[in-house]
Amino acid sequence: MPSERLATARSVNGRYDAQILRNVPPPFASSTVENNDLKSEGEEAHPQKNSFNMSADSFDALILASASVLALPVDQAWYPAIRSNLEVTFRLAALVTAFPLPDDAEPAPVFRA
Amino acid sequence: MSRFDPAEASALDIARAVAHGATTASAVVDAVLNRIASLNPVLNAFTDMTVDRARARATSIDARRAKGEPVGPLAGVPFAVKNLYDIAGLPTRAGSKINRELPPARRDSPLIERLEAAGAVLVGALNMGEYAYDFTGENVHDGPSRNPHDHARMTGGSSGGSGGAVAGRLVPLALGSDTNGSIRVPSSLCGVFGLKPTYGRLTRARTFPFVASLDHVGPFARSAADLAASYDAMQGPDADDPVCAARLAEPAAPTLAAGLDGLRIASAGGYFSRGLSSEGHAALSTVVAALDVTREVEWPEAAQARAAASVITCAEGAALHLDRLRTRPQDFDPAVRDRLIAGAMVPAGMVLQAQKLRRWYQSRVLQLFKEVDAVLLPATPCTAPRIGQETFTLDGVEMPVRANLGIYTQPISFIGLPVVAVPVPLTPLPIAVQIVAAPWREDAALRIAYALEERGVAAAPKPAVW
Repeated sequence: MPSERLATARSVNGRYDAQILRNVPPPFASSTVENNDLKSEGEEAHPQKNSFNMSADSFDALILASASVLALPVDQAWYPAIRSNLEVTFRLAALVTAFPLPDDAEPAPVFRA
Repeated sequence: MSRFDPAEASALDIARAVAHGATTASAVVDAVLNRIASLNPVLNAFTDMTVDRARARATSIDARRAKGEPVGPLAGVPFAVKNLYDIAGLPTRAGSKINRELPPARRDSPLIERLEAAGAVLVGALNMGEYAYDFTGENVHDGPSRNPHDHARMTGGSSGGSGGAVAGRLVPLALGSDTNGSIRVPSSLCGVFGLKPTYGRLTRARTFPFVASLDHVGPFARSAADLAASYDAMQGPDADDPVCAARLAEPAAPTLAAGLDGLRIASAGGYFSRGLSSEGHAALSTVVAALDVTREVEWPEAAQARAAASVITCAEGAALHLDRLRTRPQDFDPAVRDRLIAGAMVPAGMVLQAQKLRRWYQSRVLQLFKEVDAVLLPATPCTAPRIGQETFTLDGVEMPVRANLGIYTQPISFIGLPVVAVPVPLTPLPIAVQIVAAPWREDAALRIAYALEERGVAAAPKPAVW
């Protein structure tokens, strides 16, 4: 469940108030994520490089802010599942961003006129 | 054959029988419609039937044959399509509740048009995971498609109805789509042949998308020859799909029986052996032994590729559905909705880095294909899990089923390589092996699939439950 602080941030019209972000503490240093996705050798090779703040409170703050600016009507009851999905995606993204690529690496879709 | 059985007959058997007058297209279609009516209440593979259209089409084929006109290489072959393909007169539901309120499609998908031009007969649309964001074949709106080999088990997804309909002998041929494994996973769990062609080989026009940069379409069948025949009928450029390559058709059927001479085949360990069940190991070992493969290659950075594919998928998928998430979140499968909402919140930088990794990874894998023509890989970690099963144990670790059924398929579709999933008929449940080839070399993968079938190693087993 989202933290009590965030859970109280719901505004009267059913949307979350981004102003509550002022009350979110600075990033936690360690992850609290217990992820059940299949791990691989590649992940072990880059355990911390480019890792993200994976605390539950940080994800709840992201959900709160994103839902507000994207005008997504996110119900409180959906928070645990959304957070769980974000945890998986961020852990996978950490594996991607930790992989060393040159600055001039081109993204896959290249537009040609 | 002494007694023609449309349920067990291959697509090419049916086409030959119709062309030679051993049966009629109308008789085949009637038999298939009766079988679907009898078995679909259990298998839940079909969501829509096109009965009148199918009968009219069959009558037309029989009339043309009676007049001595050509009836096409797939004359009278019944087929069905995942319900994200446009079918004129039906809303394209794409497994969703929301899309079934759309106006009916005005024109068929070009792949339906091409199969029908070859004489095939569309009989209906097939169940699928909501908006194709699924590996299980479950659907909260239409109910789960059920595995013909064990009705309590998953078909795999998202083309679950396609795998179930072909394995259950409801149709000899079906079309599906594959973004991260949605043809190959149900092929494996249902025990049928599936082809995910090279990205851009088959037109995706007038299909409902999921992740544009990863979406593929392709066929399911019960033999490599049927797979090749349908694939050949669907090839060719199409201006209606900007991704569809401007390449002329390169028919695979003529070289199907050319044997394995000149093909360099390898297996790959590392990432692809981790998490693999004993059944998966047994199937792969059987195929490796049958092909006398001794070389093992090192597949580069598969874990990173799979991770990047997942990041791109959730972000692109969320972008596609953002308006629907805003206005009708209650009408989604909650599990799909929550994944998509999370995807909408993924920072752009992560997605861009994933696209950069994608190009780097492609260059590395293409280097590998200078040394070999095909690589054998597992298709799924295990045989079909039970419907509703949320976790399974891989390498002694309990993990979510839904997220991990595609661990071996995602690194391949990520860069659009062609793959044939070949079923190995283990008892009690089948499981498939992926034959992965270089871009545009579907012919090589199909040749190997055919050789495995000829050697008695690959086959689409008949369900034992009826």
